Amino acid sequence: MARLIVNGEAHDLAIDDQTPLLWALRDTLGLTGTKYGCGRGLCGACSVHVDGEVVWSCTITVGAVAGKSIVTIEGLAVGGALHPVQAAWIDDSVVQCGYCHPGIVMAVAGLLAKNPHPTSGEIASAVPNICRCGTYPRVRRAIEALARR
Amino acid sequence: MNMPPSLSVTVTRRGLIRTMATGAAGLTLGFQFPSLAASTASAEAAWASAVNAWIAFQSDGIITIRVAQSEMGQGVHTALPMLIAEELGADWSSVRVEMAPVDDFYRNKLTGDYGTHSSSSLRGGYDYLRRVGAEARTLLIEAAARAWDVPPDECVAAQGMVVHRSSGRTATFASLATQTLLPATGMSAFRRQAQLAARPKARPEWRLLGTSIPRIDGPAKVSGKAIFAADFRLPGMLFAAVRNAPAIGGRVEWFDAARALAMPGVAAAIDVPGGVAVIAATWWQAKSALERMPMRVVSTAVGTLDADDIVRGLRETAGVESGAPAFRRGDAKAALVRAARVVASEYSVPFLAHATMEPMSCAAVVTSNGCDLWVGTQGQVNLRDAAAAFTGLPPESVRVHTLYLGGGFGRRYQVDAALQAIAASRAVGRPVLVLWSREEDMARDTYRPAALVRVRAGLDAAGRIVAWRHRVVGPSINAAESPAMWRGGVDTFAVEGAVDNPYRVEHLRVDYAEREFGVPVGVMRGVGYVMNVFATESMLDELARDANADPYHFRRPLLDGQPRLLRVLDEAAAMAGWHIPIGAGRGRGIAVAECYGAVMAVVVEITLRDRGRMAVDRVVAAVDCGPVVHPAIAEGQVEGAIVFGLSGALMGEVTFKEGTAVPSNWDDYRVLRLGSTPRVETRLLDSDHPIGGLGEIGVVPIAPALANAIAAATGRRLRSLPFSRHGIEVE
Repeated sequence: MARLIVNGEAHDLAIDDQTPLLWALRDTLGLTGTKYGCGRGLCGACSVHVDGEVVWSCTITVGAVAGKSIVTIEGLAVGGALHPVQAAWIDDSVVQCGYCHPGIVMAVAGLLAKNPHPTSGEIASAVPNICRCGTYPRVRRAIEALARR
Repeated sequence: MNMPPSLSVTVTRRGLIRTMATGAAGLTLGFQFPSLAASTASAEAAWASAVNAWIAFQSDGIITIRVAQSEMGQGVHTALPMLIAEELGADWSSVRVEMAPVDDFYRNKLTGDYGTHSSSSLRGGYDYLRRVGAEARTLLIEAAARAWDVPPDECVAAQGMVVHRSSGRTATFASLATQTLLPATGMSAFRRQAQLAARPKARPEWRLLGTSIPRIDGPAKVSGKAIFAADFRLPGMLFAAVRNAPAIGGRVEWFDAARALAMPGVAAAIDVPGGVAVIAATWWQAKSALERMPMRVVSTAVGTLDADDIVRGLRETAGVESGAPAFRRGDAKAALVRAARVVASEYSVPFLAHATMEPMSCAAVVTSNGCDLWVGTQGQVNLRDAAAAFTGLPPESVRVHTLYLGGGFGRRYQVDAALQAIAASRAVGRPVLVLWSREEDMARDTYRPAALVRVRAGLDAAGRIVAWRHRVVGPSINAAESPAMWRGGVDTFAVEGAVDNPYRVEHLRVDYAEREFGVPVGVMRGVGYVMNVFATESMLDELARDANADPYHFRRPLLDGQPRLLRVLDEAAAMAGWHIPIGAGRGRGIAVAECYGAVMAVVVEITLRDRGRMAVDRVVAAVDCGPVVHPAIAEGQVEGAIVFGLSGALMGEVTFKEGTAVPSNWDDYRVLRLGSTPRVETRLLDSDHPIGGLGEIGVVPIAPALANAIAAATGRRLRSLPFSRHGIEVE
């Protein structure tokens, strides 16, 4: 049994507390926006925010995040208003297949919350996510445009 | 990447697939299947039916446009509906998109397949879908003109309305569709009377096409709402994790199902085609039980198949087989004997994994009256027929529901995970979602074939290239999956880019010899062009340096008679500032490519760092794909393909041990990340050439351009991929 607070809502889950957070979100809570891409903390497709920090949810158990505030891609838009990163992504047609982008959007939102004007080096280290469609050039341009605001 | 059209022809009629569209509420003019009408009725009636097959008008103003190509990131769910919407004069904000059912009517006009491959979506749809839209516009204008008793040519269609210019009267598409369009054939008499010819707009009339409106899949994809097969859920669904047999051969000989069943959530552990599946209430439970379930996996392959083994095997075949003739112009053999000088080089590329971000996945429901598959597939007809053969059901009882693809790159033409999902659902009598782990996805791919290319170029006394012999040795994709395409011992994929060598060489000869390693192979983005253009464009650079000539200026006269290629070459050189020396410790490389109806040139700039490290600083790309439907999506395809190609060129490699792929995840199958990605500047040269495909071409010239840049900076010519094997790492 674990109590998870996800996107502002508390859930008591009758699951093994060693279950990775990713699978609790996807399988138990039905929040499939957070993606599986490696299961080993290598690609970032499963990025979520835990108490404001970007966390790769395949690498952390539900036991370890019990009681903490978890935000997933589904909870990033508050009150129906898109997060500025989401809006920029839509306006600039950043996505391609889009499978990795919930993770990238969460990583970028986490970066800009702490560091609204990141350098290119800071962008590179804050967004190590893998995108096989190769959207990196557009991702970088979109972040740079947000950082100039 | 051309695939043969399926020979099986079946008309399936069923309810609308609404995985990506709004509901049918308020539908005034519904989709009608035209297959039967089209075969018997007049040309006009056929066109009217075609309009109904692609466009539906709702009374609330929503216009639903169908697409018959899968969305795997290349933007076709935006670009294809734009073609219809432009011609129709629709208000884009009222357009919704849904997948067309798997019906013969919807086969791609270029490939003849209901499938998404060969950079064919726009090439097959550009003319046809604009004509569909133009026909619909004509019908709506005629309907309004008749109602108003005015000449049709006094009316225009724009922003979802027909407007009578002089009186200012308007009627919405929805109202006109309600009043007049049904039945569709009722229009043809009026059409003949009106004698209007529906023709697509001239390009200066475009309002929507050529603009970078936001992608239609953007909002769902940035909010976590986009549904990939891995995300698809049904009541009562179970989840399956799979362990596949070794890629090169072997099987799961034994497993302890009872032990798995004793683990939490597990419903079954069963044989599935190609391996074993554990089925449980959640995927994590299935995966955990699979990992802990005792099993014996036997491999028919022993020892290693590493990079040296692969090249040794390819050379062995090259040494004993001259190969089957793929192309002959003049007599290259004799010309090489006569040549004043011969320059010979050997190039090689490794096996590669597609490594889509979403591992293989499929949801299945199998009942006595049919089989439903929810899947991201690149080959709907191929999958339908494979599922029918596997289940014994008639093809019309197999329903393929296409979801978003989490990457395709050719991998999702395969049906392996889908057949496993069918087997799993049949075994437990419930909906089952099969999702491969990343490790399984890398271990059981249909890999991009390794290949060896030997080029011999003959020069005359003046240093002109007079003969070019190009020999390709490698596994055959045709043999693996498209035997109908074999031509006289030549694998048609393996010689792409060689048989259509664009350079002016009097004597050209291309041969192919098959060499198998037991490794399953399949098409991957760029297919044979990747290796053959790597060889050709590297060799051109070697010849230029041999002649002490500038690689750009050396290519120009050889492209005499190829104005499109010359134009992109000149453009890329100008963008890069080719004439400006780049400075010490840096290098610049250039290469061109032509495939899938498009041409492209790239210049790559690198900076050398310490200990074999380098930075790929900048790539400029000039592309001519004919008309550009959506510049931002087109640029994204070019940029993304360049990144994809750089990953392969710099660090992509699959080797095997005991029949199993050595790389298992992103730590040992490395790909480019944002920090190492160069600045990419893309220029799309608008032209009136027939539209070309852009999904793949960007992959093709990047490896040789990078090899040429490395040679320019270091003097080292790297003839085998990936460059990491030569101690080169990007920072």
